[in-house]
Amino acid sequence: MAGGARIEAALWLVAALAFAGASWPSAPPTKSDAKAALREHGTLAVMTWNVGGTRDGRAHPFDRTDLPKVVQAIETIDSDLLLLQEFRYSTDWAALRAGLSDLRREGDPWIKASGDVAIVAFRGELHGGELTGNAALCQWTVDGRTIEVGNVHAPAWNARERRRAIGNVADRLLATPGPSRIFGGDLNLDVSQRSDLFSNDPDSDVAIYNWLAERLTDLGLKAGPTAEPDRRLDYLFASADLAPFHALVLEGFRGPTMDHDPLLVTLRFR
Amino acid sequence: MIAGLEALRLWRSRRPLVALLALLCFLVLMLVGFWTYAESRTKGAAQFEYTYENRSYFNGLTFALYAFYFGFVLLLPIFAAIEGGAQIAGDSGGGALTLLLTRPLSKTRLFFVKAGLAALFSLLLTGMFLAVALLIGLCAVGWGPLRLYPGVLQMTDTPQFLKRGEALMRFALAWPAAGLALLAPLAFSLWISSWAKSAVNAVGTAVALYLVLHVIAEVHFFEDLRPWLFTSHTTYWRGLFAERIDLREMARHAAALVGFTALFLALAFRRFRRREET
Repeated sequence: MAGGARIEAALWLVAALAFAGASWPSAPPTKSDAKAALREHGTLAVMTWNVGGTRDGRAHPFDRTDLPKVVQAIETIDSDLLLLQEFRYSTDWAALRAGLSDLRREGDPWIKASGDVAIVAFRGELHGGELTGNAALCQWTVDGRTIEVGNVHAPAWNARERRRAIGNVADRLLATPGPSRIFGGDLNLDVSQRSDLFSNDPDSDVAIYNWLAERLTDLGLKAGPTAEPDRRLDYLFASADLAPFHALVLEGFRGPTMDHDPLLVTLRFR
Repeated sequence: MIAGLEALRLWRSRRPLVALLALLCFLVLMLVGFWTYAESRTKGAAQFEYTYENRSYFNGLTFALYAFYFGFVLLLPIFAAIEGGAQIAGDSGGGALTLLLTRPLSKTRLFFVKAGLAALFSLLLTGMFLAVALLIGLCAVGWGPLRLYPGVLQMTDTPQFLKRGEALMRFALAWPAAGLALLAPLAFSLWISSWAKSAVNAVGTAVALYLVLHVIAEVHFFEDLRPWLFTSHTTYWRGLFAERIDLREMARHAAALVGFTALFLALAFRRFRRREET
């Protein structure tokens, strides 16, 4: 083989080896990993889910046609704490509770609800609480520890109102004396802004996200988008004493009219 | 001998001078752009410290990083493509390649001298651009720690803080990392150049195809397509500015870039060996 041909062969070999190295599989967490993590001693499973949807292009809150899928999801995923948005206690809770037959055997879940948000605890107890508009704050006592919890459904179409809604809840949550905090919900922030012209003030959205991310850990950072087409609108943040174990956007649980996937995070106390 | 001759021809082509002047002009315009942005945001009291992520984090290091990022994405690959496109097709059009090959010089040696020289030029251009951006940042904006926030630029996905010394070390590491990233568009343009008979055609085609691949790689919907484009990997050096560098992810991108570079070089070399000069 001539010198030129040998060098060319060497280049092909380098290319093949480099591509093989680049495609060496990494090991992202899977759904089965998360399910396994839920069963691990000392972990807390927290889920946030906007259960509203759209029909004929119009947004609507939780629809009874989606109830079987939501019940199935809650029973399958079996989280300890659930933050719901676009869910009304007065009209939706009784139906959902009736559907949750397996979980009810262990006692009724605790619920704190305001506007179109609700905080539901399937383990431990909820107490206290500030409930205003589409935002809820309360304490969750579980495994002998107390965690301050905030849940908000921020306005979708106005960045200033969105900032005010998120800031109000986060301010009060961060002002609480306890070290442990979980903050989540449908914040309607799409910081990457890669998908569309969703926000009327992207700078404001970036600012409020960064303000939050400097104070709390963004648990779903690598979990992926929760709404079409690839928007990450649903968030769970936690204080530094809560170590994230897994974070997953769970696909396949939506009802026929729903437009968000649930975000599930497992945590443990450091 | 041939390396010295090729270096002299490169210098006399004035392409390095044009590239340097264009990059300098770009940095000056970036500085003016940031200054006017700060002025409009502070209602006349121009301060470089004002941005929307945080009111006090912008300094010379941030300026250098943003300027380098924009320059790297939109300018440096163009200069690399111009250099690669001009190296073979530029000599072919004027008959210089035929003349060179009448001497006792193998095509293999000539090809790799040209490729090596173009790679060295790209590396030095990258280093100079980075150094001048830092110098302008130091003199015009002032230094401090490097703070980065998630936002439109996708520079980071979590707030980052690096002390000044550590940040400067990361800039030093970014030079070879970015230099490696430029090899892929350079080798790509060499491949185009090996097919073309005129430098204008080679450079135009290489730049146009680079822009097409860059735009496609930026469309977030095409997540299944993106790993197959070298332009999806070229900004991997941004990972060096994280508090904790994800070495595994960096290595994957670097390996992909080495793979693309070797692939394009192999294709270019194969064509160069077989083409007939008239």
